[in-house]
Amino acid sequence: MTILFWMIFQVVMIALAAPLFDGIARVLRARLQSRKGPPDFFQTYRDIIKLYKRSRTAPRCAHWFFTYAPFFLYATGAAMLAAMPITYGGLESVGYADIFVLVYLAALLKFVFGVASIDSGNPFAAVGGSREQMIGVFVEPVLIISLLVVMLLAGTSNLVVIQQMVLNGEVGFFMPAYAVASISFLWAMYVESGRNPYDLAEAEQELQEGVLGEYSGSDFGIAQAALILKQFAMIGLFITIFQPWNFGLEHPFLALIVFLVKAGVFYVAAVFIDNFGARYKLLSGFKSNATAALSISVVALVLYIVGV
Amino acid sequence: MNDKMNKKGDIFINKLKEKIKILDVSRMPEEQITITVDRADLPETVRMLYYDMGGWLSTMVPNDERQINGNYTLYYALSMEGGKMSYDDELPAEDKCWITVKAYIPATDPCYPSVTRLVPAAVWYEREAYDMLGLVAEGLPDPRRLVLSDDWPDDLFPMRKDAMEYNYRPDPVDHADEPEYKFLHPEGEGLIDVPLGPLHITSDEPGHFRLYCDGDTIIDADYRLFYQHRGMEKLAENRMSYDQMGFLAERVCGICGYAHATACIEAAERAIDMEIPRRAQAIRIINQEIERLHSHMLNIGLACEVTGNINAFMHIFRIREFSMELAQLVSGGRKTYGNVVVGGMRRDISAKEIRKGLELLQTMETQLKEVWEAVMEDDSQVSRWKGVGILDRQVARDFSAVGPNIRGSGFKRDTRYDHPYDFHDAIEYEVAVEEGCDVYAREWVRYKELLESISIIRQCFEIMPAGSIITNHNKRIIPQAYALANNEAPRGENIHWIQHGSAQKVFRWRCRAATYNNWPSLRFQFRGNTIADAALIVCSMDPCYSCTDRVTVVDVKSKRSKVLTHSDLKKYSQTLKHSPLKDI
Repeated sequence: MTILFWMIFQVVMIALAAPLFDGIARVLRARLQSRKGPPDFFQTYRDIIKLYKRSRTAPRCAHWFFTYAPFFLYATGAAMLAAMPITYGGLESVGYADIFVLVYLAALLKFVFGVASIDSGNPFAAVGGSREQMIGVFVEPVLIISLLVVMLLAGTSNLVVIQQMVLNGEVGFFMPAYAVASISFLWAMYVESGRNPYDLAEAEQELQEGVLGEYSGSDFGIAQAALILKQFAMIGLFITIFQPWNFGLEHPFLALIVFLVKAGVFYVAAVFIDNFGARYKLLSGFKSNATAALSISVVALVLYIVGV
Repeated sequence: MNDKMNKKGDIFINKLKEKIKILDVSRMPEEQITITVDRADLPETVRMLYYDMGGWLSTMVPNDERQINGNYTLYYALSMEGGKMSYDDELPAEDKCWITVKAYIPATDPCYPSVTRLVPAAVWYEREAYDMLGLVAEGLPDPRRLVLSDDWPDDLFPMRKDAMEYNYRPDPVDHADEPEYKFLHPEGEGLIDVPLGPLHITSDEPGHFRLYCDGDTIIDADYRLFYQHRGMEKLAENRMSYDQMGFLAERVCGICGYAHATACIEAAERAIDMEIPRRAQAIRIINQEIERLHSHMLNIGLACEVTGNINAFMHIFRIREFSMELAQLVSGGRKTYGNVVVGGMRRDISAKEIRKGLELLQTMETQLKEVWEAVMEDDSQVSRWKGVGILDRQVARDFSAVGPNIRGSGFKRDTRYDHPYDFHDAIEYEVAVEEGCDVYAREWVRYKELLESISIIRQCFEIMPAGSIITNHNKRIIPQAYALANNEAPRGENIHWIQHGSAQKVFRWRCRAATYNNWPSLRFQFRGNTIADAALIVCSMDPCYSCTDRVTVVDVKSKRSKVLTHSDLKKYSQTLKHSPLKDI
């Protein structure tokens, strides 16, 4: 019962706080681009509220899937966040907080995204949807192999146990396999968060907002909030496995605050990557990048097998 | 004038005379030669001038001269400057001139043999000649409408002098009954038809593109433009005075309007051989170069933005603001508009403004170099530009492309250099040429031209003579006198052709925007690229949507074109026999 409470508590808190970090990122990005940008850090809240007040519209050819997809996306993002042992890590082991649960939830999110965009009937959205799946094809092997190394090292797929083992020093950066896996996982995490230069699916200039192209009003607001949640979930997974230290703050509430600050730093710092340079093309720039990341993750696996 | 002396253009006329019967030769301004031929000789004459003697099709003016001589007239204006396919394939500066091939079309039989079969560059012009005047080009490959909407009445040709009562307009057709525009659609397995437009989202301008894609790769493209045809040429006829013409011509474009206004007014001036003061010439050049500054910076910025590099875009736009400030200093407005009048300029520049202007140029130059260096160091940006949207040299030659578009394919083709006008004879500058044929080369051309523009403005500021800015010669308009005027707008060569009417009014104004000559080659630039590059390719051409669409299949080897109908293609792709491309 307590665990369920803490799960819901952490999801609500992160959902409420996430737009703040998006706002900070936007202000920082504007400064880097020598423009004025939003007046303060709360612009994303205002945007979502404004969008949420508006009515819903859907293309005539779209089906129920298109209509419910934003809620589905949001729910999936929330479910992913709930699976992170942030507040309840020290309490007891929970079966739900499992790497496989997270990996499948992420795949589900991608699937919903793709189907909703194809269902919208917009050819650009369809291209965006298919790009999203292609990105999945490139990223998921890296993600799985990196996580596999961690699971093999820890001997379990339960996140609570893995987190405890890292905290106790049973598994950690002194193991080369773990350290190398963290590098490839970091890449996969960044790509999954859908930011430039990997924002192929949502490329505004190429695909006219791609997958989200046909959403407007409250649907669009929810979908955007869901995407921010998804980014936090991906960052959260990295933090849970590779950066779980919370400076001895065991109390669930304090642990949540530490998590938010850490995730926020990652989220905002990504501006220094996404602000510069041009978007990759799927089959040239992106592919070679993915190959490099895949080889890093394979190196991690080999290191585990040879046992250094 | 001494008839024995060799005049400009005689070498071309003598060569033509060996094969073709020339009915008449006239020189209205000295370097603009008009030769009249029989309409049956039209295609061969234009072909000889174009391919054998190194001409480029600059414009074609269909005209209704029934009230003057009972005929319709066609003027194919060619810029004689050399084929430029190789380094030394260029005419010496003293031989460069304009040759206009004129042919009468009897009003009772309004048709003529199509030039397009021999010179593909004419295809757009001949389609427009049908839309506007009902002149039928026999053998013209593409039968589709060009300028007018698909529901326009079949028997109404707006540019005929007796065509339109302005209180009468054709009834709009109900939306459901609107005829469908036939896009060329290649048949094949699993091709996706991606419509881009009618409002292009990154250019925010109307143009309907159809991209035919296999996965992410573009197999072919087709486009329909002219959604906002405003009928300006008709509006100008017999109605506007020359004081108003400049304002009208400026409205052709939101970015390079000044180049249009200058070309239009200069056409009117050249037709009556009017010299304007050197100071006014220099100020016209300064304004045009300022326009090039802000237009090229807009384009380079967009080329970054389209690939997702918002940071570079924002910084280039920050620098662009200096050019707007400079425009305000020189012309009184951020858009340099409202300054050109027949005979000179409306507004002079003070020494104080020049000093401030020179400072602004210095700031702009330094910052521009910094940003460009940063963009060039960014490998992900450069790799998005390299090898994308290749404009084949032969395609460029066949379609008379202009501006940075063709200079990026290694042609030294710049109308400031080929046909210097105004103050350009006193100024030193280099024509920016790049060999890459891709987006990267075109953006490099633009960057080099930015630096050249800064240098040109600086030279103008420094060596500009003092004196009046408007001529006080009392020149009268000569009815039926005509001339064309050229200038190098940011997007390439603009050509305006004006024929004077009586009562100080325009009889015929033909405005040819630079992009008009660039659209047809766009289709070739699309092929084989991915959807990710589609917007970038359109952007690198820097389109002005005051143009049109035409699609033909061109065999670059035999230089002949053919249009495939929908059913042709369908039949071929179903049976794979009797290739429709075999006989071209």
